[in-house]
Amino acid sequence: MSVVQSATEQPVAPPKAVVLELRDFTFQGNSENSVRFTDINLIVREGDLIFIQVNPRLKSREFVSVIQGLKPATRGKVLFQDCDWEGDDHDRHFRMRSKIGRVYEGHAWVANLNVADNVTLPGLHHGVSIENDVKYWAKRFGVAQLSNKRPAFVEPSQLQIHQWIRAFLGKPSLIVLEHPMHYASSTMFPVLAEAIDEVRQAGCAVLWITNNLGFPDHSFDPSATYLRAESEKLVAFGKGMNDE
Amino acid sequence: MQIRRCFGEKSDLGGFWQGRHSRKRERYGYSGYTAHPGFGRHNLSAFPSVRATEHRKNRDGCCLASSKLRPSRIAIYPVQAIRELPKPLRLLGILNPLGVAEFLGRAFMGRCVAIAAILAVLWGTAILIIRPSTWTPPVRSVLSRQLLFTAVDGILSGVRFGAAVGVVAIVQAAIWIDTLGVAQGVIAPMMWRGIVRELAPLLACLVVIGRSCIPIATELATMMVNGEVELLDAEGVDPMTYLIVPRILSVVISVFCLAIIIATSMVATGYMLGWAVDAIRVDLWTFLESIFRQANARDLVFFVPKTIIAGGFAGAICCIDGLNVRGAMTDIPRVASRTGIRALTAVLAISAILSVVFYGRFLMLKIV
Repeated sequence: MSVVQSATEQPVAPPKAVVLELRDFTFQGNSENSVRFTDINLIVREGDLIFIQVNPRLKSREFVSVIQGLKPATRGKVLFQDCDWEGDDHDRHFRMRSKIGRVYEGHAWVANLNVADNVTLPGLHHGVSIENDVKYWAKRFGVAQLSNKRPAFVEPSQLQIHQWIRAFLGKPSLIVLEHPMHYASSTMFPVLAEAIDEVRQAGCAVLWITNNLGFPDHSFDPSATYLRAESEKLVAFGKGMNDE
Repeated sequence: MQIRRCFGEKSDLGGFWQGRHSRKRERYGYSGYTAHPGFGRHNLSAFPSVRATEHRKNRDGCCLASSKLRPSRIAIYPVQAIRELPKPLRLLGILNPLGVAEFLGRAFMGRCVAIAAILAVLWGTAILIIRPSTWTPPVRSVLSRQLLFTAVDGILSGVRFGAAVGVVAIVQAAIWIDTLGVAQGVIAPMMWRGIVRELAPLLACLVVIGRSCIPIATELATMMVNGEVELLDAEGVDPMTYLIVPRILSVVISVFCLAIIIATSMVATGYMLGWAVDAIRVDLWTFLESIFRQANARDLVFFVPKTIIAGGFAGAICCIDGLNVRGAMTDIPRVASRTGIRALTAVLAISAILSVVFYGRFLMLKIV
């Protein structure tokens, strides 16, 4: 479960390990259209699914980059599995990032690699055996074979599905989905939701950032937490979909 | 009170911009004002009455093109006081020795920082190269592709370059033999020394810089602007390991291999042309034997580090320039041209320094 400053519910079950923690976190962003937060606290535990609804005109990419330690927070701490992103131990940071799957908002591909190489690059680089994983997730998401074309020549909807595959590869501890349904057909939502349920059962936490919660019906198991980025705060709100 | 205005593009450039100021003065007709570098925005604060946003007339009544002016680059000060100084001091005032010294100091420190950055990248690369965990399949793949592009695809260019310069070398050798009246036997040692010690490594660097270094800088700059470097970082892929190490290593290996190919091409072409025009009258094996007789360990000791160091510097410069780009796509062509010039300058400087260090000679002077 997640603890948000304005959330009143407390976990009943014994607490699971914390995957991600934002402590007194403030982020002002470098661009005007970057999503901003001031003094928020957020704890994401194993198996949690948290939706964060952001204003459609705001970009979440920088915020997620801060979560991944690519950019510094304005104030406060970001802890991933109880480790911060501070210091010069870059090897540790790279190892930590290898446990985070991500669907990117905006440019998400290395242009001079084909899509298949793009998808398998992180796993191969970290020495993780991903062959079976690739086949499994490709089949789950209805992709017969990873595309051997460069990203510029692949349809955006297909690219987005390939982003899903890349995010789920290598048994990540945290998956950050930035607008994962962007370009994707709404008919794919149940497939993605079932995949999310599956990784959550395995202990993976999922952070879903979106500006539109009008998805088709799906009951997440266990139920999801819905937050809205409002006035630079995270505010819990009621049922956004049909599972609360 | 008479005033002077300073239109320095960069106030820290001191007296070097005098000519430019004079040209501007002629162009815009503000002859009543004397350009004086070294006065920046701090001087302007003392003279708040000067406003660059207004059109002002100089003492000859000419309207200044104030849109060309920027407040931070305008300064005024009394001329009368300077006119009363003795001529040598006035000259010093115009030349602005402090400004010149500041410019030179900044330029020197800038070069030191740039060299330190290059050495840091080379050191980091060397450390990563010897670390087995660096050589993951994707990194090996990048290295092989880069070697294919830089070395293998560059062979034909190298052979063409070598052949052309070999012809030039043999023609020059024949001319000097006729002029000096020396025996033909000096051709082989001349070619050996000229080619192996200087020309082949230099030409190899030129080929690699032209064919690969500039594209590498452009590619990295494009990746940087598109956010692909951040993307790799986000996936836990170290950009230094994945992008920099294989590229620098491939440039080093390519320069070394191409230098050998170019040297061979030059010698072969030189012999063929010399034999054809009767400048060389010995058979090929005798010619080669006389060439290899000139070879000594010192030349090889010189050849290997020269190609490696020059290649390393060229590779590091293009990677640093590529990843240092900030801004938009429109900055990338500028990065490419700057990288080419910087890499060429570095290679030539290294070539010169190593020649002086190894052979202990600077022009005609022998260094003890």
